Amino acid sequence: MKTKKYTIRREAQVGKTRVLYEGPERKLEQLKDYFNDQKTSDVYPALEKGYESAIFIYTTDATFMSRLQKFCKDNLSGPAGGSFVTGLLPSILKTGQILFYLFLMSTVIYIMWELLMFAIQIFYLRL
Amino acid sequence: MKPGNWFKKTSRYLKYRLGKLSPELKEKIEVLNSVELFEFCRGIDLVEIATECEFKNCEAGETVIEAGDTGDGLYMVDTGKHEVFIDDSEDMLAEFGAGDYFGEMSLIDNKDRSANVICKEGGRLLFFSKEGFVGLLRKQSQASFRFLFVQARTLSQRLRETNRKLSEKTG
Repeated sequence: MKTKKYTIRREAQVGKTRVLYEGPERKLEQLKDYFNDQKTSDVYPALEKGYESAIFIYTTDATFMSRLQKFCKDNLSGPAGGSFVTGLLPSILKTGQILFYLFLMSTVIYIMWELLMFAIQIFYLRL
Repeated sequence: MKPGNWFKKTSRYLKYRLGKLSPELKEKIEVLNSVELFEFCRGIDLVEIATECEFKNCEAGETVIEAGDTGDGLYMVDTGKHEVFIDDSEDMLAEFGAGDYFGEMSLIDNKDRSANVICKEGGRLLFFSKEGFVGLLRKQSQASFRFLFVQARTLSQRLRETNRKLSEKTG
């Protein structure tokens, strides 16, 4: 099974499409060569966490986007890696997010507990 | 980050995401998008840089840059044509048109301008001041980092090219 190792970000406001890739710059050079009919930027090391390289393509055309998605799916996806658990989790649930959600849940549970105690106190005071 | 700066940055980002940028800012972004130096910049970076830039109109025959002046920023050509001359020489060194830029070295060093740039066909230039650039650096904005990275790469490519030419000449 192949996993997605890239992200395509369409920036329609500035007419650019950004491709972020988890692998080496060499692979994006292939993309640059493949889409030589389009104006592209050089390949740069990505500044975003979790990605290694990035390229910009100066179009947001729908036809091009579908071509790009197909190319990325065929060439920038890799074999599934990591443990069984991480393989099951969607990429959004990385350690930071998990900790954040745990903190959020514990806060909500604590508030609910306090409200419950308050309600019980009120109930007994009435009695 | 100061609360005021944070608010400005957030409102700029929201405007960008919602497509509510002013027409002038959109025009500036279009010019930045046509310049190679900003190819590594994301949309929001371009918005950040564009807010630091200003348009300058120039007439044919006007001197845009005079040799010996202190470099104060980078010029990007939106419309019109500009010619480069060294001192009073009549031999033109280069010609700049839409999408070209000059004066980029002045953002980094404090040296005087080395050539004259004279407007051949009237048009509009987008000016990115050194102050604006340093301001972005101080804010530790990703936009300035991305811009610096491209500039460093461009300079290293030029250096390699010069080295190659020099080694060819010296044999």
